[in-house]
Amino acid sequence: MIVSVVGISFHSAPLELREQASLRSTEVPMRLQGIRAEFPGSELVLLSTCNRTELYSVGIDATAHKDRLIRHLLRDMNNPQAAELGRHFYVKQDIQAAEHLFAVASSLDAMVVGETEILGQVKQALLLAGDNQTAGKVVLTLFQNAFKTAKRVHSETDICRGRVSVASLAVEFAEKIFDNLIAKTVMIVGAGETAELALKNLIDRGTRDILVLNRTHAHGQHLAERCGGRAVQFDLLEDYLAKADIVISSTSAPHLVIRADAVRRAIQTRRGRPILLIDIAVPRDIDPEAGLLDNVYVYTIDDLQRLAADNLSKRQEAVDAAWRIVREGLSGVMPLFDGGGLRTVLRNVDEYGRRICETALQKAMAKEKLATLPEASREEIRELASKIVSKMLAGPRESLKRASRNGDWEHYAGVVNDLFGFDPKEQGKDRDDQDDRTIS
Amino acid sequence: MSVEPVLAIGGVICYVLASVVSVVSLVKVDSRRNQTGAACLALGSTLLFLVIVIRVVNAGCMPSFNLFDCLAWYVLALSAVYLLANTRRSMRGVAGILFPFMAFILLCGIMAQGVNPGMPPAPQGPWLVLHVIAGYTAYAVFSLASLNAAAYLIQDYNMKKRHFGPVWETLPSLEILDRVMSLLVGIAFLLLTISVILGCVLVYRTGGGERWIADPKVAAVAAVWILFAVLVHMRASADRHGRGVALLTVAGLVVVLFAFVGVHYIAPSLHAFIKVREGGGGL
Repeated sequence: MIVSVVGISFHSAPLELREQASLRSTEVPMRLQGIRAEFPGSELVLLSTCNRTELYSVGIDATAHKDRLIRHLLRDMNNPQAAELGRHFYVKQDIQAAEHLFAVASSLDAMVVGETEILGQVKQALLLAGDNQTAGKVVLTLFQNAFKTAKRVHSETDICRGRVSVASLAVEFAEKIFDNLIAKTVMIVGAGETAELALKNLIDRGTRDILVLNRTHAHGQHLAERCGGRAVQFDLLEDYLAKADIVISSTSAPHLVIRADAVRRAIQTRRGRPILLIDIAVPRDIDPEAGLLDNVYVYTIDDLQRLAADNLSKRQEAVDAAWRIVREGLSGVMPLFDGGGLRTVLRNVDEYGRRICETALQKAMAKEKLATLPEASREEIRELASKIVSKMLAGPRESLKRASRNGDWEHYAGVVNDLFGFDPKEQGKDRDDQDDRTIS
Repeated sequence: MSVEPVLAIGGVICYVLASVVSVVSLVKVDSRRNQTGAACLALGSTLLFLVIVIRVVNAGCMPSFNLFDCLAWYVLALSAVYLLANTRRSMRGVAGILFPFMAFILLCGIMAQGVNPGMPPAPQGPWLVLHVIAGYTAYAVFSLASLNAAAYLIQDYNMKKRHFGPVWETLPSLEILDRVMSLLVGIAFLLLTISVILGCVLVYRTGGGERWIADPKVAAVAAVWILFAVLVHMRASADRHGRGVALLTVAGLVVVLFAFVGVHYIAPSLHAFIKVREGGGGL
């Protein structure tokens, strides 16, 4: 059977092209049904995220039908630029397709290696396919193995360790100081884009009490409304400093906005409760002297970027180990691709042994000494010869099965064909026959 | 050779192994190694507990006849409090400080007086047993608070110096460490108060109050009690948190260890359960 993936991702196309192949989850069922109608009996899963749109299929020769499949993946199915877009789509088949799926689910193919959201999105895509009755037995086996492998990759390697975006690192620092972010007060000074993103990450972790201070009060109010916080007059910064557990500053002021003396007074009022000050502004908003005070933790954009780079390099170091797990995981689905070939080769090997055995026996039995033996003795000799051949072939048979599981099949199959003089075309033909039976 | 020393030495070896594993898992994040450390600790605790049980059966009273017995009680109480605290709050990383401390304490006990039981003391009543158990547990609980405070200071140092390595990653947040510290100091204060009250009851029942008041051990425990009271006040009434309180809590460990063991080296005490070995130089 043919397993394939046809898709477009950030690897193959820039955003403006990917946008044309980005599907909303509400559009997916219709597209799945459309493809199923065109390719009856196929199994389909459609994954569409901001970074990729991919169709996983079983029973469709995606190389031969690439253009037809791509049309179903475009936002506008009659897009006149379909042919041009087609150049950016990739097609992978069989074990390469499975490997791609495993890599995607394990976040090895992600824009930021180790981001775990993709696993949830792949699961969602399979659920959607299940709801639309386009996920069959083969697809389920493939995806379940991919999920198992992704889980192993996430738990056994450092690929997901540490955050890697500057905005999300504010959360990482906050979580190393505070136990529970829900009850913490966050103060945003200025309304820079990164500060807003950092705030969004903190809100995602449960922070509810938000103070927004901006020199232009209206801007502050606007941001406060967006994030469900309170806008406070900029002049009251020092008064509110003691109330804030986390301060993110990103003003464009050319001078210091939060002075060490103000922080000292705040920490005295807080009776030693720690305060996290994140300074995203350039030039700096927060007096570096404040970082020397007990229970005050000041981090600048450089600190955030350094930690992000460290975390990313740790993830990269884990990539080799992750790929090893993926290759191990692929052995679980190898029979889906090599089953036909393996069975044919094993059958040929058995047939080869049986033929040699019979030829040798016929020649031997024709000789006078053996021809005069009683039938029972002749039968025993036949059995003995058969056992010898079986024993001799048992080792190679096991090796072939192991090779099929471990992904070395192509190499082993070639060697066996050379050694025994089998015709590889016959095996391919047998496999196609079997695929046809599976689809029908 | 009787079975107790073998079990005792086996227990100490397990504690040493647990400490090695916990330190490695602290400097090189690995949850599987963490579990191995916990398993070594569990095995070590079980072996030490068996030693205590055998000695209870043999002596018919609470075995605190030599330094090893006392330290075994203390370490067992410390292990139990740690395991209990760990079920409520993730104390991941603290093990890397606690386990080596416990192993060090046990090794000191072995080196000072060996593992063989000493002579049983005077007959013990239930008040005395409760007094001793409450005291040991108070020391253990406070020691854990101190080691928690040490973890707080390490994490504070990492955050200030921007050492975002595996130790920073493994240790809990400052707020968790601060809260656990605060809770443990409160419990230690309560237990020590109970132990002191039980001690007063014993003195009242046996008479000779003046002799006991002059005992250096009593003076040392009074100092510990005052220290605990100050810390509890700083936490509960003055609402103080952070590095300063953590520093004081770490310093408190020295006072506790002095009151528990050190005082016996300085002057003879009526608390004769830890005896200086005659002619041996040690305890």
